[in-house]
Amino acid sequence: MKVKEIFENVYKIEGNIYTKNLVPGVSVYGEKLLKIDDVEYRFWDPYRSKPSAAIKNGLKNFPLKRGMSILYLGIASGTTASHFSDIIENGIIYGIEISDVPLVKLKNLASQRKNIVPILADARKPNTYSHFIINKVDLVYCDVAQPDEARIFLENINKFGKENCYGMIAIKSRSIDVIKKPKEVYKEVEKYLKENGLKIIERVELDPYQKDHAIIVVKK
Amino acid sequence: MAYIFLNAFGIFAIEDGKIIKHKIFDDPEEAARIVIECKESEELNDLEKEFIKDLKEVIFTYPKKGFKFEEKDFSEIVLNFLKGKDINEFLIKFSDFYNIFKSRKEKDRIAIGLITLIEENEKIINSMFERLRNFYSIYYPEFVIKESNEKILNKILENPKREEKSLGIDFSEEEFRICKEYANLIKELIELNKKFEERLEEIIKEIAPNLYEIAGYKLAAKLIKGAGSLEKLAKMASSAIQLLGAEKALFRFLRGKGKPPKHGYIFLHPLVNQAPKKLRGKISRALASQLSKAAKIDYFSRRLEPSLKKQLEERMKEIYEGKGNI
Repeated sequence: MKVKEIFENVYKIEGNIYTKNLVPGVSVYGEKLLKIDDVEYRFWDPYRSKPSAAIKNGLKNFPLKRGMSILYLGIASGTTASHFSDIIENGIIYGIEISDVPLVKLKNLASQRKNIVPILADARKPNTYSHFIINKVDLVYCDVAQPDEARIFLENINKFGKENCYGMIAIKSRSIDVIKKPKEVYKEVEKYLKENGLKIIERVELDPYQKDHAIIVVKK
Repeated sequence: MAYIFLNAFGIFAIEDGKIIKHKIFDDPEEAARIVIECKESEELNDLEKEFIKDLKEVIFTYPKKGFKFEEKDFSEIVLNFLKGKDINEFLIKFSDFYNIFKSRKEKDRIAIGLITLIEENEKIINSMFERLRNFYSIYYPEFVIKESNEKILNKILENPKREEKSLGIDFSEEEFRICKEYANLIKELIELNKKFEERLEEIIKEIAPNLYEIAGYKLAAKLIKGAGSLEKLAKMASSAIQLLGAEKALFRFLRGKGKPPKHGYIFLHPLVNQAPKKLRGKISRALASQLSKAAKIDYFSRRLEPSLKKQLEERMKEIYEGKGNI
């Protein structure tokens, strides 16, 4: 099988996206594991994880690199975060989640991987978790599906992001405005972020993997 | 002038970019407890008192009553100071304890769990009654048609034999036994539900005395569940409370079909469901506004405010007398 590294630690094998497994032998959410030449790869399901869907739909600027520190808003049970953890290796992910039910699952993941810090907090109130984030982060990833998601994202990237840091925001247009067309919602979010000093690098829509979703990559 | 800065690793006093005093937390469990205590209460606690005792003038980087507050980040300085410590490992352990302490504090989640159990149980009891009626009507259809669930249940448990001529098919002892066993099961479920409701009532009385006073424990619990937590309910506008539980109708209306809903869960309140249809919209608005005040008092102080109910009664009088157009 032909293995092609498209981004750091992200591979394309027969048209599918994989990441190199940080904890060989362990499948996190029932995804398939693939062993080629003594390296184990984990299938990154585009139907379950938005960045994977974005890569499949041709995302060109994927900002994750080895050793990065990431602030992840809305980490949930860690499906996407497990792949981020594969990519950043010895970096660190601060995962903010408001509900404690998925956090139980995340706790197991964190104990296996040593680069995820699960935090039970509300992403709307950065002050309540500022004592966790001791160094500024290289990337803020936001997936909270709230009407004021863009504002939450902006507040966090301003407070915790380094100079020139990256941001990725996954937008569920249906939770921002049910009535408007998705494209209009994306444009409004982009306009809002631009007005507040962020550079828009790329936007990728995630259909058909995630309906009415898009990922926007920005730079501070 | 020194800034007081707190994070997972310790509490620091910083002056001119230098750490002049520090207390490092060695134990992640202890650290989590202290951080929550310091950040969630604006009163000065013992540790902070002790720490700032010999400092002349201090500015806190998180809010504290009676002190200057300035939002400032000294993470980098602290990080340099901590060089050599395994930061990630400590943070992961710290977050573990932090999450545990944090999630233990919310009692309204027990109320939400209980009301969910009760609602589900009610559904089950209803459909079990349906089955029991169906089965018993094979034997005694005349009785089933005219009597209520409770009467049928009692009859089956006491004496299931019919007292008049009937179109039904004769049952043998075996069928009577099946009927009785099933009826017993229903009775037990009803008693179980009563116990749950008693407990729910106690909890609602404790965490939301004003909501309890105005709406009763069941409606109060439903509203808390609908909002997600007592905190969220307290921060809701009264119009949102009015329509909690009517989301389907609301979105149907927003899409341009149908009429706007007047009430959601609050329809369960006797003031609304016993009112003439014409007045229900007005009454719903008045009730929701009072409920929203009640939730706010409950969340922020937990003190019982008797004037709330009085105001509502006065407003009801006005509405029924046709005064006050709003």
